[in-house]
Amino acid sequence: MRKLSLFTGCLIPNRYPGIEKATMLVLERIGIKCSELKEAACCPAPGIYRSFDNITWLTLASRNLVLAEEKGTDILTICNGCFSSLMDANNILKTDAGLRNEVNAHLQKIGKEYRGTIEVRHIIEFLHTDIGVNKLGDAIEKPLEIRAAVHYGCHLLKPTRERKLGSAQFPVFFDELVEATGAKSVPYEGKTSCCGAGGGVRSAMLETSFKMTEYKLDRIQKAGVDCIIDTCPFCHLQYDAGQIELEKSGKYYDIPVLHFTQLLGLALGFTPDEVGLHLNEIVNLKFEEKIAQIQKWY
Amino acid sequence: VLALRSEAVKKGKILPVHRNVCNFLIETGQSIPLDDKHRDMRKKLGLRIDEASRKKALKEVKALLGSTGFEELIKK
Repeated sequence: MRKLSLFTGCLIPNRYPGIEKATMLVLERIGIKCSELKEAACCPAPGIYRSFDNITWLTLASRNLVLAEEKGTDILTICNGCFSSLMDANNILKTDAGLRNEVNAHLQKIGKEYRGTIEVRHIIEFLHTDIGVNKLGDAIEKPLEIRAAVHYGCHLLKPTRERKLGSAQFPVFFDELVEATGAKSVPYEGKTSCCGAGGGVRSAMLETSFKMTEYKLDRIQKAGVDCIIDTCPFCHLQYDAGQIELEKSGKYYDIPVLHFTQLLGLALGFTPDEVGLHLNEIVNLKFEEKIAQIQKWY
Repeated sequence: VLALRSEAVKKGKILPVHRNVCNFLIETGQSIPLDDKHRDMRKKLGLRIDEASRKKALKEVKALLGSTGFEELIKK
């Protein structure tokens, strides 16, 4: 297995540090060595920067890639946006000599050079491919008998030709990981549609963005679940803080939102506080009691 | 879509909220900077804040944003 550096991005360390904590706890517990990618900056976020100025987007992404190249590690991301920017930029720079030269001319000014020697991984595809569902299932100490709505997020699946993770309409790999924790992945209408946050929509068109979130939450609620499981802090923010916003228009959900590493942490025996659930906007004590009871059974 | 948006940006057509996000990147090296509330959360979770690492990242990001002309583009 190649060495890994953890790229946390902006949103996780600066808004949802519980996800960072949970990720560190679970990686250590299941024996995956992964060191922090020091001196990393914004990936930069694909929704705004890629569309504003392609060379700036590629140059800043390549700087992060070079940091990992210098360490001789692959990059492990825990955010769909970071995965998208870093993976797409890496693929473009590996194959387009003209852009690579242009980017390297900028990087030269800070004494760096992109060489194209590493890969960018997302924790979900990494766990599914390199660890495997069965091995992950064997590591579970407290099988979570709960019902979960799995949200893949757009950038994890698309563009399908680049991601090579199978169908974007009917994906299964993330559901399989969730079910390895003992949870039941509950089907719901509109499962692979957007949470409403990405593409600069949340910042520019908040009302429209929440209409999309409401569409999703209505269908998730109808499916009857204990929680939502995501794998991107931007989707996480949209579902978590979005529920508070939608309460203002009379919509009440109270559905806890967990990043997959937080769910895995619970299944490995860590408490809800240890994986940072108490730092979410939605803190559902009934859910936490249910987890505590499950954890006591084993 | 990417090309159209890029052309609009060259003409200075940037929504104020998006310009703010870009300014965060220029000023901090991150699109969502750390605030006091979340600094405190990190401490409570026992997560460190590597100020030296962030400072070096910002210095290099600023140099690159100057080199590509992005800072000038956003200030148009």
